[in-house]
Amino acid sequence: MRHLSEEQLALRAGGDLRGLELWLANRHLGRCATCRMAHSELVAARAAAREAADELPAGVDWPTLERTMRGNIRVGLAAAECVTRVAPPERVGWKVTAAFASLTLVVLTGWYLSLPRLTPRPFASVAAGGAVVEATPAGVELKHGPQGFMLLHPQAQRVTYSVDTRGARAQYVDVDTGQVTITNVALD
Amino acid sequence: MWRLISGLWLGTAAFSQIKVEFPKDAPLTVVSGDWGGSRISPRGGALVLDLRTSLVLKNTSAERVRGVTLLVTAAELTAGGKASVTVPSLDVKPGETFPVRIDLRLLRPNAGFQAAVVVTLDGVLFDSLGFYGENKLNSRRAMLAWELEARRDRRHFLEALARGGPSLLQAEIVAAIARMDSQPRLDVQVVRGRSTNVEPDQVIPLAALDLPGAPVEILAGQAGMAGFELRSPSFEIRNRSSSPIRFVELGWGTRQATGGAFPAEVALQPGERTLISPEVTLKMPAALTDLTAFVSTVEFSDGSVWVPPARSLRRVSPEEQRLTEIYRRRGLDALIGELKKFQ
Repeated sequence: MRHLSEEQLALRAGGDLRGLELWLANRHLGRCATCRMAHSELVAARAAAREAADELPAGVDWPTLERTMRGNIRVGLAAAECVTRVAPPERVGWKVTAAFASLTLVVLTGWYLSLPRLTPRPFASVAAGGAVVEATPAGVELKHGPQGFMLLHPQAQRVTYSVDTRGARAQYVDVDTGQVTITNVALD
Repeated sequence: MWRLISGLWLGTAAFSQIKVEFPKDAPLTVVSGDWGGSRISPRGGALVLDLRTSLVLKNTSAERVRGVTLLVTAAELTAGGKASVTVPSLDVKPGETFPVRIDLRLLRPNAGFQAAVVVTLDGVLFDSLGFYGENKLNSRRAMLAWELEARRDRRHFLEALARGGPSLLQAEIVAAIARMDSQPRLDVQVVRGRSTNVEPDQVIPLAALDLPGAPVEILAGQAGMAGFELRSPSFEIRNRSSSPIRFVELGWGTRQATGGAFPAEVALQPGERTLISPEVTLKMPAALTDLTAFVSTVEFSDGSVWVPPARSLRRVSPEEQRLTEIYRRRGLDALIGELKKFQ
């Protein structure tokens, strides 16, 4: 089973897929926990970014900011008028606000997508020292500082997890081979 | 053209990241390896390497293979940790081949993957319950327990078939599926090490499930509950068999839900008692009011292993999961064929 590409996931999350592509993506998402998880993350990121763009960030005085920017633009235009005659500028306040909102959206989305992570929140985990082993929807992962190592179980629908003091384990039946497979990651 | 070139480069790069090293005298040989789905992608300031591998192994021994454990290490990334992929419940005749899939994801904070992933053979279990391998992960004990559980579960379903025909087998397998689907789990965060000195709010006594024929008896036990944290669990056990015991695994949970396991290396002579008190704190989703425990695996000093004689309500064996999946995907006739294959 081939996973959805990041572009397909992003388009699906944005509601921009149509027709056969949409049907195929939906069919795959219905079967693949890994892609479902990645898709949910993108949907959540979009929602968070939209919400952040809609609200004024705390501590920002938009009217003052707008007045300052408008003043700076007018000073610039006046300076340009000294060189060449141009038509008087239109009111640009709403454009500045829209530009800032778009910029905020882009920055927040980029920041969220750039977070180095392998998976979302774990079901269960075991930690000792600086290392942690987590059972997540995508697999069993050992994290040590900024490094990660994960055994995935992408071809399974029903996964049984267990965590003990030594590490974590996932048990599933591989869809392609029909074999029951047990992945285990130990802390030491 | 660019996609083709980058695809070739990524495939080559991924291939160079994995080394498969089996001993020369191993009963399994690597026939082929497919690395086609591997890729490297940037994520923030890090690199993510997805290695999707399917090895085809050949049984070059004179015995049927029942299970295999592959040890997967990436020394630079796992920092002493170990990972393994086990395929139990196999039936591979001499000369036959079978696939083992290994899907890995590696995350590194900066450019370049220097350390290769090394896949080695940790153990092979045969139909005779003989074992080959380095056993670095105690895979012998684990595979032996799973094989004994598999034989027990197949026997249970075959008895149902003999007693009541296909309809009773179907009823048994449907009940097993329902149990798997409805089994609640406690998702816990286990933190190893001594817990803080804060006094627990309450002490929860243990209710031990005494399984018939178990070589180990749980005499008593308790744990402290502080908020949502279960602290300092302790279990007093006794060897009631006539053989020395070197390993015990206790399953634990509540009356309603499965929790996990406490494995313990012990040196327990017949009749002796000991206290198992792992230094752990278990962060729970909610405060517990009861705690149950049962003996799930015992390994004797001679290497033989005991598993509960009846299918546990608290644990889904790998074989049970495999058989229910065969029924779900291929139907009752396929399940009957599979059960009879092992007779």
